[in-house]
Amino acid sequence: MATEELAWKTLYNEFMFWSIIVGLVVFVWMIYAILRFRQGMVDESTLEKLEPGTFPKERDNLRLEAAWVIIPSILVAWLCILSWTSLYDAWGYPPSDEEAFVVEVTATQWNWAYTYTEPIVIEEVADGVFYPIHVSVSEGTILVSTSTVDVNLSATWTNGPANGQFNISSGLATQNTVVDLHEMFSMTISDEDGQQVYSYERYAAQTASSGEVFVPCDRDVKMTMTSERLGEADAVLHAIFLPEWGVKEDVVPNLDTIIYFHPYETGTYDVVCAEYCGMRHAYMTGKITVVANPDSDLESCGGGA
Amino acid sequence: MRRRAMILLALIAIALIATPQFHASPGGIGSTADDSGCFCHTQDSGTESTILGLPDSFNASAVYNLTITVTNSEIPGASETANMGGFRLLITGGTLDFDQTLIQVVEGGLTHTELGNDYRSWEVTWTAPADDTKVVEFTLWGNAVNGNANGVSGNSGDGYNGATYQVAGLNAGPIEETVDAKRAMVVLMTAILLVLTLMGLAAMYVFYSRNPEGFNMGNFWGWLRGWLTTTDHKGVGLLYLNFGLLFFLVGGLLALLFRLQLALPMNDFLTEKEYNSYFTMHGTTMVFLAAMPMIAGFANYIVPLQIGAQDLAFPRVNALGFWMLPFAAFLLYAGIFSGESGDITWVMYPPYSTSTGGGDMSSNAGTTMFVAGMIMLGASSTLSGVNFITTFFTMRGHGVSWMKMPLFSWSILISMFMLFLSLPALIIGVLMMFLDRTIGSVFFATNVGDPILFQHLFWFFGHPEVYVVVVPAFGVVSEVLATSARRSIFGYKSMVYAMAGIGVVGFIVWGHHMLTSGMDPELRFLMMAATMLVAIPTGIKVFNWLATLWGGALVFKTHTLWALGFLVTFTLGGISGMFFPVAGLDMYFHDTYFVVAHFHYVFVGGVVFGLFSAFYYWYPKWTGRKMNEKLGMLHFLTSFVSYNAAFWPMHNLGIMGMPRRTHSYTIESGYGELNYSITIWAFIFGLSQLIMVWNMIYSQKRGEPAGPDPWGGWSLEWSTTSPPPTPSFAEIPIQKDANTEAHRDGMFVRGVKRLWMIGEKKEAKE
Repeated sequence: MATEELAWKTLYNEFMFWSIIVGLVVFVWMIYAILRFRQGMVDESTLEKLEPGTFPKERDNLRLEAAWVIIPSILVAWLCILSWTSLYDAWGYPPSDEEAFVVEVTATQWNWAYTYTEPIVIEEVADGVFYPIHVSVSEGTILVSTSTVDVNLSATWTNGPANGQFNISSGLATQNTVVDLHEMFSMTISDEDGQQVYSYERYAAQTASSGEVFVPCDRDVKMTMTSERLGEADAVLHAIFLPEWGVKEDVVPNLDTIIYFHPYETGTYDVVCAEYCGMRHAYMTGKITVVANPDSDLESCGGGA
Repeated sequence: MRRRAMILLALIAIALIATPQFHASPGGIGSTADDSGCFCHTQDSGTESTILGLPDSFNASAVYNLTITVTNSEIPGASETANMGGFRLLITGGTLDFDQTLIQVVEGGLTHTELGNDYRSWEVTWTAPADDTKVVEFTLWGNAVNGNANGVSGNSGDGYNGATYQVAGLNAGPIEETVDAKRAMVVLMTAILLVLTLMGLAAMYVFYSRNPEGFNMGNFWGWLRGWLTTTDHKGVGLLYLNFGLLFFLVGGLLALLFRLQLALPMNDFLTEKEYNSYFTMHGTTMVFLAAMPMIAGFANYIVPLQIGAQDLAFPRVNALGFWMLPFAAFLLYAGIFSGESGDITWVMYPPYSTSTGGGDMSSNAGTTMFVAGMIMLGASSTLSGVNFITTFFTMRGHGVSWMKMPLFSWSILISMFMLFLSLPALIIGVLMMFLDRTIGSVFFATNVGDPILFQHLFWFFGHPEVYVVVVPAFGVVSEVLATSARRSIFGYKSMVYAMAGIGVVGFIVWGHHMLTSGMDPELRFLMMAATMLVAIPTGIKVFNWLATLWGGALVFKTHTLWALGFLVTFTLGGISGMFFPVAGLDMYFHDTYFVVAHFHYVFVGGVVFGLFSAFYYWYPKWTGRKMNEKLGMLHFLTSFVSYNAAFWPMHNLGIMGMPRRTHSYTIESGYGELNYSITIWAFIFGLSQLIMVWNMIYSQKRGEPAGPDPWGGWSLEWSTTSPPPTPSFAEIPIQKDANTEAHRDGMFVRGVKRLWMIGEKKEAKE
């Protein structure tokens, strides 16, 4: 569950409430009218007779008609006010590039590709591992520390074309090696039995990833999107649709469109193309993974506690 | 004479069928891939024919050394001097160079010479074509020979097999499946002939059943020519109605086909391209070839009768407008026969719709024809618009002043005005699209043009278009409910102003289709507020209908049921429409099944239910007989239940997040169950329409005679006979007025009237 109710769900409930009221008024009125005022229930001699070729006596009632002009107008005005705020939520104040996690999205037929403007780290600890593992990677060093000295672990890493491995004994290992932070860095740590206990993936800034995107939890995420051509075909329209956060925006060639949202829970969600883009439109789907953010105070985001 | 012609035709047909067979080559192996191949050798799947040295993609005019190899482990060759193997190679591009002692050219392809059959591999040099956007196909047949040839009967134990390789040029798109042009033409011609024959037979049967004794072909041609050349508004109206009903069934059939595809997750009943074409054709057919012609049909037949005109202002233009439709329909559908029909959705958004030459990534070739068909539809609708507006302004009968005109006529006037004013935007848009596709202009090109421009043009037409089809349904329901409740409509004037209000507001709301299109955010708010305004006049109409029922004596005829059904479904559709202009909700619901549910509730539940009501209501006027009430009730019950069961769950699918226009969905998505039930109900809905078709055919002969005014309506069309004579009124009729003194308006109505400045003036003149 998201800690903050999503804007569209709140609005949906409010609109649903008014819809049911309007629907009830109309349908109760209608059902009563057709049951009560049907042939045989009413003395037809009281009704004005209709003659072919004669415009009948007009019937109207100013008060009634004014009522169903004014009351719906008030309701419409109220609904406009309700939806006003959502306008700002949807398109009002996009987070600045500094505070938001920015992902550049490039849509082609029929694939989503993502470029990160800052690195993202995904750590995963295997089930049943009771000791904490801390990894930090800098240009010249890979540092691994655990709080226990009883286990012998071995680490295997790859960094672009380079790779290597080292052992961690007595709970600490410092590996001095050149790490290219512009390349993706990934490392797995296994115990003596060869079981993987920990994995570490660091997507560097400007790394293009295809098919899957990672964003940090509890932080504004901003996607800047454009559409590009592939082969002889023209670049076409797409629309990124993230059902989990209820956001959607067309991806237009030669134009940068943005969407932004704020994940409150880690997990993997769908990315869907919502604007018809040709043959394999239905299969232009992907996954978005919200990864733990240690800076967050929320438990659902892997921080705080 | 006729027999000779028949024989000639038969000969031509046989010749055409036989033509493809004459490509078989000497040398043992035929040239077509599905040919049995070889009349002197036997096929053996153990034989492998390969070409070594083929590049993955060729450079223009580059030279490649190729080695043709035939292997078969079961058939070892005898020795270097005995016969070992043979081959045949056909290519579709480039030139081949080879050793003439071993290889020779036969019938446009290569094969071994007498000397050359002592080998299992041969060397050739291939010069690639200069055009590197082509795909070259190599068809190779290889024969492994065991060398037991002594004299003539040496073929036992040999085995041949073939293979096809495709090499694309460096700049070619992805390799496409080539469509067999001959087959597509045959299918096209067969379909056209079949349809024409069936229509001819149906027409002949209708004529025959009118007078079985007096039937002869001469009379039949005369009768048929009368229908094909009619300019009478009643004849043209019936043509429009039949055309609309026919395409209503065609469009429905397309929908059922892709509902089958959607019934199961990851289904492959239709390919992606087929699915995309079918839903494109479904949408276009239903809006432009079913709903619009049916409305034009009712307008043609009923409006002149209601306003006391003898015919429309321009009868020939009217016929021209109709006869453009079958040709437009032909253009729209032309692509289907080649498997390359328009797949750009009914909204035709560029740049996909203007993208050509990218193989599967671009829109289908038939899209050009599709767009041409749209231009033609635009021309046809413009003609009707001019015609109706002129008729309304110049040909109303005595006493039919603006504010004494039946509501159905008012609805047609407003809808024709909207159509006439909005169509130019569409026509401009599709013309530019046509030029982009054919002569390479760049109106919507992504680097210099603006693809969003088309969306503005389309929806400036497209949203009024929605009201163009739904406002006449309002008119029908107003007539039907009032007549069925045996009284005049409540709030006649406010009904007229409400319709006109919808007509005006309808022009400033187009942007709500584009809230997520990358449009200017400031425009978005304007569009949102304007869209919500539409709810007010629509509300007035709904409440006025309810007030009409109040205190009346409602008769439940089939048309009444349809009108009440319209009230239910249109209200639901109207309510769900309120969700879309809201930015926060549209961000979620745009282009999901919630939209599909909404517009089917207003299009089917609104327009089509209204038109069904009109069919039952005015059928007696044009046949002189009522439609069967029992069949009508059955039609209503089955349709109403299956309709709601089919379309209501689409709301749920939309809330779950299923995007529209998707070929399929995964099992994990959980959309499967609802889609399965939707498909079943859609079939029931589709089949239940046949009840109405049968009812129309049945009642034409056996229906209860109706008389001039079967339902007790007041408007002028009920004062003539059923069917009306031609010309419809011998002299211009006079509509009387039951309001003894000038009906006193309320303050509100007076105020609006003063703003509008119509009504009183005309009355004062007469």
